[in-house]
Amino acid sequence: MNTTVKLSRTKDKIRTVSITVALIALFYVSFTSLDLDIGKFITRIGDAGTVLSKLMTIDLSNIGPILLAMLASAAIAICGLFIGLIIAIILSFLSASNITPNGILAAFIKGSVAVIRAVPALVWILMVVASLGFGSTAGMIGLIISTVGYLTKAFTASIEEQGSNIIEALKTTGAGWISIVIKGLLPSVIRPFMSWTAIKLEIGIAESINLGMVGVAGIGSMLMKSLGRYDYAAISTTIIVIFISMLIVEIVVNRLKKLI
Amino acid sequence: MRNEIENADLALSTVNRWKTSLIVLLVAAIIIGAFILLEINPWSAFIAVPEFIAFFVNNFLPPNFDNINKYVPLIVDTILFAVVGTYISAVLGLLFGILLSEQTNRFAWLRFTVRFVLSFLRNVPVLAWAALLVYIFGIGNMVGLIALILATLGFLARSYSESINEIAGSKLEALKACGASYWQIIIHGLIPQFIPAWINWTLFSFEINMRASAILGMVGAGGIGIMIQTNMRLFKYHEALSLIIILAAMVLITEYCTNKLRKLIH
Repeated sequence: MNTTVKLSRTKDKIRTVSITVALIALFYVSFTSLDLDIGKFITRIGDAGTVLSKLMTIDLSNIGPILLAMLASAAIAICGLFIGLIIAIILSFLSASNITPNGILAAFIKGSVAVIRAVPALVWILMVVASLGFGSTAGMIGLIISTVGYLTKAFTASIEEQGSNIIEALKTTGAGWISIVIKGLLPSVIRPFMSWTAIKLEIGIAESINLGMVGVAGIGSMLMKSLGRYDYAAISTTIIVIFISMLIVEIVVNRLKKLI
Repeated sequence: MRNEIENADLALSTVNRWKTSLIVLLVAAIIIGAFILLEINPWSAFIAVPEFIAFFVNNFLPPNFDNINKYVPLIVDTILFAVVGTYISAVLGLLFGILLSEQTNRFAWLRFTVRFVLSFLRNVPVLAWAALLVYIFGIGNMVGLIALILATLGFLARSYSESINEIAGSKLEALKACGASYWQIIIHGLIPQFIPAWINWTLFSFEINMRASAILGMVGAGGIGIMIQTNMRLFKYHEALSLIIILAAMVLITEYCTNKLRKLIH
């Protein structure tokens, strides 16, 4: 009396199989045309073991400067976030479709923000460094650019979600643009704004560490220097400091998001 | 009675007001502290930004596309890195996502270990991974691929496990009650429900990978990034800008395609 009941229909099976085959083919083609140096990589795995075992030390004698560099990386992110936030708030109210004073201006801002976002923060920083030289100011400008790109888009979406009811109501009372923004929209978008800003803080600190790796300032450049010196203990200590700091940031940002 | 309630309300709002002003003060102190630590004047940004724009207009514009043929293989490589990296991290991410979710992994010690490893992968920025891998294994494109996988794996596994947690619950309980085995529950209960979320997160990680793949070259791990940096070091700004424009176009096209795919699926 035992009959086997099919768990999936034949038509679904054919579809699943053909999609899977197509995906595997895409992977195979991409993988083979990449021409990976797997052979060279495998021969190096042996040496990697010795490097890794050398990295298994920690040197706490230099912890002071390392922590200070981490603080500098975080400070660059905070400064960039602060100024970028102010610019993003202004730009988002100018470009959100329900409150924008001028349609052409809104389209221009949205287009520029899309271009800013399309270029990775690290490429922006290279251009900034080319014009202003290395240093914290260049790092801050780089982060201002990436913050404006990220937050303006998020903020504009939050404002547009509010619809136009409040705006229309306030307009009939004869309120001006600025008072509509401050009294009508700001109270209802302040929570999403804070939430986005907290998320951007976490991203910004990671970016700021990355910026250091191309030589700006902060803990990234410290890591590059210890890599250049073959100072194994300093490398591992720096990585651990980065990990613990980013973990703390992640936990704090998650708390903040829940609080908001 | 009414007076009491009003008083309580008043007291509460005073406490809240105190709390808010305290938080505002704290945030202001952190921001001011950051500017003092870096010895930057906030107004310097308003001088530096126009200076940067002027420099950009004078030195980068117009882009020079003359040597672009030379860069085509690198551009193709950058895309292929992102594709292959996304594939591998999507598969590994699913595995780790299942290990990370308490619905599908009953061993607390294993969950804890996986969570720690993934948190380590996620919280060390991608360029630090790339530099470290270049240091351990030497310059090569394998290293770039591994750095990409490490960078998205942490993020993907966490997102996957959150989606698994949302799906799991009563439906999987029902399958269990029917006597389905662990693997039957995973393959016939979990995976079909999970596929939309899987596709969505994977497309998102592809977008991230496109950007990351373009910057990995800056620490010697393959892709177009190295040429952007080299051109800038040689003061060939016009040529660098042409590569940056191509990169931006690649990112925008990727976003457009993934959005189209998302709409197609839903």
